[in-house]
Amino acid sequence: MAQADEQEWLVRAKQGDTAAFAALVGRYQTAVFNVAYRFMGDRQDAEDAAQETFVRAFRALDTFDVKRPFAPWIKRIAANHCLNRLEAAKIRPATTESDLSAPGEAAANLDKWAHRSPNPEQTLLAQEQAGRIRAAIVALPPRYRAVIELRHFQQMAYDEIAAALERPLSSVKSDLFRARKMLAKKLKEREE
Amino acid sequence: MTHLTEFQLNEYLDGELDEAERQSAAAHLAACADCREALADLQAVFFALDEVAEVELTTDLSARLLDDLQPQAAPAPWLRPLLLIQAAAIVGMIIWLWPTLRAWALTVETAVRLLQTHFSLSLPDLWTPVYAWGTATWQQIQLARPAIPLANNQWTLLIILALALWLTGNQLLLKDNA
Repeated sequence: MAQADEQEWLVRAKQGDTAAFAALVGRYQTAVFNVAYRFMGDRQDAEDAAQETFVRAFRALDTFDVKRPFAPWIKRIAANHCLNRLEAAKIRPATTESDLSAPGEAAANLDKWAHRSPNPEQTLLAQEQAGRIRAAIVALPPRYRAVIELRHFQQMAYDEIAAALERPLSSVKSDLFRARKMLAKKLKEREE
Repeated sequence: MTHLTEFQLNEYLDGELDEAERQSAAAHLAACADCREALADLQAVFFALDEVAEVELTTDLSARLLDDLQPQAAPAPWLRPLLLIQAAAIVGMIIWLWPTLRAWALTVETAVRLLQTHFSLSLPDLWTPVYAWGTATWQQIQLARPAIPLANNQWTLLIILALALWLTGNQLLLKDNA
């Protein structure tokens, strides 16, 4: 039923029906916002990026095949938009030492990364870890954030990532493995 | 013993090795503590990324979006006929003035002659008042008035053409009336 609704919205949106597109936005705005939030690390920037993603998607609807699922397409647009935005701003990786919380500061720093925990039953240890990994992702260079996002959060294969980012397969693999190495180093530093 | 490379460890965890490579890697991991430790460090990243939960969006983007997606208002209905009338008028004026324009289809000699006849201003004439100030004598320069021979109606049409072009160029006629 939901799939049928979505197809109908897409068909109408392709004809210029902004109300139908607004329905799609309502369904996917949280997911797109989270893509942006993982990239930008700032709530306001993420909302702006998500907004712009939907505008771009609306203008590119002519190229979208309604038989395909909408979610992967819109999330890919979000990832590319955030990457372009960060590269245009010549964002350099932030120093993460101050972003990573000492055990006693975990609660205060959590507010920086999550407005509200979606799962009240998560242990404090798991929440600390999530906060640290978010900080570590935002500390990566934009290209590395992109490959982490597309591999780990959008479950794309190497060749799909290469196509989405329009980069050679070898470069994508190299970036992904280096990004993971940097994240592993950050995680290990906090444990010591 | 040759350890597994960083690439192999990553591809092993990503499930990107073919069957033969996967079995070879698994066999090596069973025998090599260093590679198992390296794999565990990498796996910790995978697990940590899996733990990143979605955060809640507190504003409704669809309400803001509708403003950004509003289609541009259609131009006023009289604009297209007006454009066509202007285009027809310009073409008509060119056809009407064609004999004159042809006569003006200037060769180099005609252009020079025109300039010499109607805009005669020589350098000594320019210099004269300056020199005259120095000697306390005021001189006047007489410039020949330009006189391009055109009938009155042709002048009128030329002025209308120029006015239309000016108004169009300044978007006073084609401004969006939405």
